[in-house]
Amino acid sequence: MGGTLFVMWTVVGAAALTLAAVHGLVWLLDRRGLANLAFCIVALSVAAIARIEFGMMQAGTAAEYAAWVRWLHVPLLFLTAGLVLFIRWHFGTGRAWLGWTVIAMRGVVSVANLASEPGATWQVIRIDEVPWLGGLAVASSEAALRPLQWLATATALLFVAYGVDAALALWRKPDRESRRTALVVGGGIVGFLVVATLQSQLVVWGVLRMPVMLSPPFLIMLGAMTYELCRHIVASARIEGEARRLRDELAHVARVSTLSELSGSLAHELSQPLGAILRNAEAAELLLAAEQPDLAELRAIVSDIHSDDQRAGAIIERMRALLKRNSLELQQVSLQALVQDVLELVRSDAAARHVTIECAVPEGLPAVRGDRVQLSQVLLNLLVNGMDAVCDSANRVRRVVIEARFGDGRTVEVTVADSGRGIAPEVLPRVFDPFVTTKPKGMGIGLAVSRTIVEAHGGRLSAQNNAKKGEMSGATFRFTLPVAHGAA
Amino acid sequence: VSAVPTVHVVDDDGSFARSVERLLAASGYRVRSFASGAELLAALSGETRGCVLMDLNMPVLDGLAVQARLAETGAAMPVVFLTGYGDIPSTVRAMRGGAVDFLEKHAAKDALLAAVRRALERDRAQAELRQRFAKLTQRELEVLRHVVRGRMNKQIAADLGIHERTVKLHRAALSTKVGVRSAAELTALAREAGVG
Repeated sequence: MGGTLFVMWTVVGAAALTLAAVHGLVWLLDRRGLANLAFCIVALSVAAIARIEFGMMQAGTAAEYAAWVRWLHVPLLFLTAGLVLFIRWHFGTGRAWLGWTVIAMRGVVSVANLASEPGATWQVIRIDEVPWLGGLAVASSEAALRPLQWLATATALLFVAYGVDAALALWRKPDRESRRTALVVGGGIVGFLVVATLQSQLVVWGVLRMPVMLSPPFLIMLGAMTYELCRHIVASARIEGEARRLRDELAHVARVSTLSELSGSLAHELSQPLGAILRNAEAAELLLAAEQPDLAELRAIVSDIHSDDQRAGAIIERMRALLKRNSLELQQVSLQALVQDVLELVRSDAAARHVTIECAVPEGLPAVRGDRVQLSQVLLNLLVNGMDAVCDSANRVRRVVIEARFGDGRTVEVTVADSGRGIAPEVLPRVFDPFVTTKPKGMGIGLAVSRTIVEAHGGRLSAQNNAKKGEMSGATFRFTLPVAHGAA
Repeated sequence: VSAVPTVHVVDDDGSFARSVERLLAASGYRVRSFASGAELLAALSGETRGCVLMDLNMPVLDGLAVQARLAETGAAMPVVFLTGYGDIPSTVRAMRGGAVDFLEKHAAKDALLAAVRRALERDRAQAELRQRFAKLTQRELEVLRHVVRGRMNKQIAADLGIHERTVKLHRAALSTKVGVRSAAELTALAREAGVG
């Protein structure tokens, strides 16, 4: 018996099993990847077919050969079903009714063959060894066609028709990508299906005297399918990356937009320490011009210049941190520190607009896991919105209240409530939709981006109007954040 | 003591107020600083002289509100506003309220000192003017109020129940005391001094 045959069929079987394992795992990790499941079934069937074909090539008697042939119908049924579903699930083409008909017909052929002793389609009477691929292999030398053979042939033809139809549907689509895919389906899948079917049918009909050889063309077909799946994975990874990049970009735009609303008061805040430094330096110059400079006063001036410089630096640092582009960077974040930082940013704006900001963040609040910049952005957005709402209303109480509390043991809840007019009932359901805004100069992306950020952190952001009674007559925005592991 | 012209620096930012105080003191001015408009208003009396150098943007009572309160009290002083960033509406309101100047916080030293000099000069002029008007008798002041409103001698005489010639005499006397020659000049000065 030729070692070449053994090596070849072992390689085909092993390759098919490997591919089946890989795509089976992919499907287990992401159950939505049904095409991977279909592929796994096809690859397992090809491995089984390779094993059976090798058994046929080495059969000692016609009865043994016939037994292998009967078993061959099991993987053929799974292969048919797997391929039909793969084309449907992965390419989204292929007529459903045609596909189900093919599977049903193949089912009848397979079951009939398993159920009847001489086989329902093909009865092998005598076998012979023929020279094959540098060695000898067993092939049928005399066989009879059984009553259902026409059904097997019809199934094969219908199967090819299903594939060609699916490929043509893709080809007719206008984009280049669909045409390329059509070539893969048409050439790679249907082409090798035809080759395999034709060879086996010619053997069955007695035209060719050689072993049945389905698995090698099927393996090439698996290659085409793998190529297609890999392209798909690479493309979705690229789309995923692109989407993440766009999300970060949009978050950055929203941050810049919020900060630009504050830019006036931030400039004012910055002008305090800068102005103080300038005046102190000028005073020092005048003092130094005196005959006996007042050293104690000069020392006090230098010390003030020092602390004012640090004050200006801190303001710039807070802005810079929010203005830089960053991608999501998860770390343990203390809400108390975060709230303080954001309050520093809006302090001068709140003062200029005569809004009081009250803050109740308890000492022992556990840290949350998140991106410091993006969480600051959410809080800043809600605070600025709150102040806008307060300034927009006739309520004499101008107050925004931030509260944080430890939620159900796994989350921290933060609320930002204002004493404004509240959100109009018709706007409330759409308040988080992009480009919905009630501000004359607003872009309407702040809340949409905030919700995306909170959800990316595994939390929820919601809005509701407060009861109309009392001072805090406006709206309350509420978001939850999961507590960092080991922080509770 | 309070009659000595003083620059009143008002800013909620202690460090900034201190720096301005230092510069003005080193430039030879008498300076007092206040952390809020309320502190300033509480410290003022009718005799307070000088000017106010004030942050426009302060919490609770902002610069414009302090300016308005100052005008209501007898201790109206020229105001110089300092601001981190000036927007046009508040600048206009400040000027209408009689602000002498409107400067950015990091304006050049010379501009700041010049503004303070102008404000003190105006305060001095106003004080001097008030002194001139202070020499007027009760009756002369009454006549002055009518003149400022643009009334004729005959009308004033009828209103006050005195003879037209007496009104003319009062007018001549008060014009000499204040040192003006025309009714228009008198009206302008009376407005400036806050009389009438």
